[in-house]
Amino acid sequence: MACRFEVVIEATDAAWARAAAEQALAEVTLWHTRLNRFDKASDISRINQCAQTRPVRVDGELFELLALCQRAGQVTGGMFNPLLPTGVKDSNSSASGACIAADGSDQMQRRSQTAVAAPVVPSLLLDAEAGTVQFVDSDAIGEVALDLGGIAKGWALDAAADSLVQSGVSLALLHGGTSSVRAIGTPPGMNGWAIQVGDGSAAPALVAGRERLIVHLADESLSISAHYGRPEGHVVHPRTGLVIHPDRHAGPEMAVVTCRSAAWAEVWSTALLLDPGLCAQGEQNAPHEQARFAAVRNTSAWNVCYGSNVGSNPAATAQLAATL
Amino acid sequence: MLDLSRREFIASSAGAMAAVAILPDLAGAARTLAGPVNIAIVGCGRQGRAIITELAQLENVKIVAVCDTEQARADGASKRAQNAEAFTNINAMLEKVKTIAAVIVATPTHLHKDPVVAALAAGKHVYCEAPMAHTVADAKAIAAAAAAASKQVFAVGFEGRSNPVYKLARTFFRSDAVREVVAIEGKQFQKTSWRFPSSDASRDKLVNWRLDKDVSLGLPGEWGSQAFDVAMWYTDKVPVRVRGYGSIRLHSDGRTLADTVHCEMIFADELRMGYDASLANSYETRHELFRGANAAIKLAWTHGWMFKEADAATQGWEVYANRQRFHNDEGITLIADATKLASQGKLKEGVGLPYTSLYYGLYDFVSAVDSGKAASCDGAAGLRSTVVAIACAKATAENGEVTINPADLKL
Repeated sequence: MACRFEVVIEATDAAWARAAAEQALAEVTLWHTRLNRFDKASDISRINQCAQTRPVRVDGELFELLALCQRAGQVTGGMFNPLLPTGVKDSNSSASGACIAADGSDQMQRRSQTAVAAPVVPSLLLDAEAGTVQFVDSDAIGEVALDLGGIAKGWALDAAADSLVQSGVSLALLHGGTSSVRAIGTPPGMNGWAIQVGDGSAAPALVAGRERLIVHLADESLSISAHYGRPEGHVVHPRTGLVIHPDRHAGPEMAVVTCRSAAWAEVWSTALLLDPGLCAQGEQNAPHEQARFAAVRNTSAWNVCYGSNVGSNPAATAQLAATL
Repeated sequence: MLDLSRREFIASSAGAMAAVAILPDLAGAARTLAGPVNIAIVGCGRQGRAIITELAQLENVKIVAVCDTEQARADGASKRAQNAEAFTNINAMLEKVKTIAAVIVATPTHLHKDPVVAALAAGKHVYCEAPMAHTVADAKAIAAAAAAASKQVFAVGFEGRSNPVYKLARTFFRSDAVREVVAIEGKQFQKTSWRFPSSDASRDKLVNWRLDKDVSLGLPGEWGSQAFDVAMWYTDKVPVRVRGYGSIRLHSDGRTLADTVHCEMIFADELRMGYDASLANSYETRHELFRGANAAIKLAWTHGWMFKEADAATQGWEVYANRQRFHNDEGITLIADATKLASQGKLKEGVGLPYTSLYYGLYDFVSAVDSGKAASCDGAAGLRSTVVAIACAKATAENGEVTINPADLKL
């Protein structure tokens, strides 16, 4: 997953806490191994190799994750889709990479050779009885591949958090690459683990004039999606299969979402980055895994899509603080 | 006639030895068996979970039942195995699910005997995780039960014997490519406490059986036995005595079993295998090294390399082989299925195995069940390697030397 995972545990027994942390991080390692599409021994590589032409059998855990991906595609109107044209990889890593505005319209810079703006979106065909997965509707855009990206990180964090809870941990904070966070419990005297969202600049201090966002997490997760991170961009528009250039996107520059599960937080932060109007749709279509708090930032201002520090979701409090 | 260039021809010839050694198709497609094989898994901890994941990659294999003394773990395994029926008692499982053809036992080492013997007595094929047992008596009881069930497949999870890279390397080892073996090394390092957290203090001893000196073989048994088995399989020799040294270098958390060990297996001709393992550092992870007068072979489960001596005869094909740099040395990559890959111009794609070592062990077992042939590691071979591991564990606990009793190696 190309990032550092860390866990903080409150405990009185250091040996026990270390063991709990090791088990949690072992879950991260396990899922990294299974979901890494660049490792030819991974489950994802095996699926990518065969699922274009036939159903591929997977175990119950991976099936559950793929079902989550399928559901995520449905509730986000296709704004989350881990099934992408394989040309994206090439375009993303080469000088002639494809760049496109977030709305997929008139700011397109270059097209990948294999990724075209196709109206047909490939999807997963899951057979619960047989425990198989197959790619469907992929013919129109050529070869496709699963790239779970952020949801893999969220899924691994969820597995790690579950491991901690099973071990008896009641207060902990985990993160993967700082953009995915999962909290267990609430620190005494606080209304959650306070997480300050950075502004994406290289400077450690926040830029004057830009709002600072602090989110309090209590038994929930936070995900941050942004266009920056790589000079040529890294967010792929699922409807076009093209990489969005960080300087040429039309929508928000960053999206922050809290959900109970880290995997769902990843889904919604990715989808809202591409289409902020999905907030309401999320509330309607994913009642059990809806984003409890969501905000997007355009240039310097945060816009809270929904959720606040009052009302029916006190656990998902958020504070919009003044600038430095 | 195929239109092959000289380079391709030589590269293809280089893989000839590999081709005969490799049974599984390495192209990545799912393995398909002739008939459906219904499997039950006993022991649903971390290893049981890994087994479920690997079995999902085998077509025509169905996990029909799972069993663990802890209900929650059995239920979790059931969910992972497409709702296989969950049990907390193996006898109840064997009694109720008549369609079970094979049982995979992944309980803690000291709890192997009862489920293995019960499954064999019920007429099931059995795969037993390695090492077979924590005592010679239990290991012999398992081997005896397997021998008595001669019409059933019994396999021990010494994975090197079914690993394509190890099988390929063994053909080199036993050819003139290595010649006289002068020394063997085995190493395994991982920074970990080896401790499992438990939310229930009363279960701590049960969960942390690997740290319990009364039932655990410690690092020599739980990790080292795999390396010992590879050495014994390659050389067709069993050591006559072993030495062991161990101490707690990092994890001073009340444990009594060493977290860092050094063992030595000494064969009748004074050939020695040194084995080092530690829970305090991760560098170099896990590998075996065979040093010969002509070459050294290094094996790291999914990868293998050969390092030739300057005065070793040139066999021509090495010039075109895939190579990898290791500081001052350059290794020839041992590639399974090299003939096929070379003919397709894809030799480099063959570097590293597409599946885990556990997968190949399970595939070997299920194939044996399917075909009626013997598994790569049977009860007799499993007994020998387990007895040596038990001796190494004893030597390490005593910081001394243990002589292998030849009677322990036979039924």
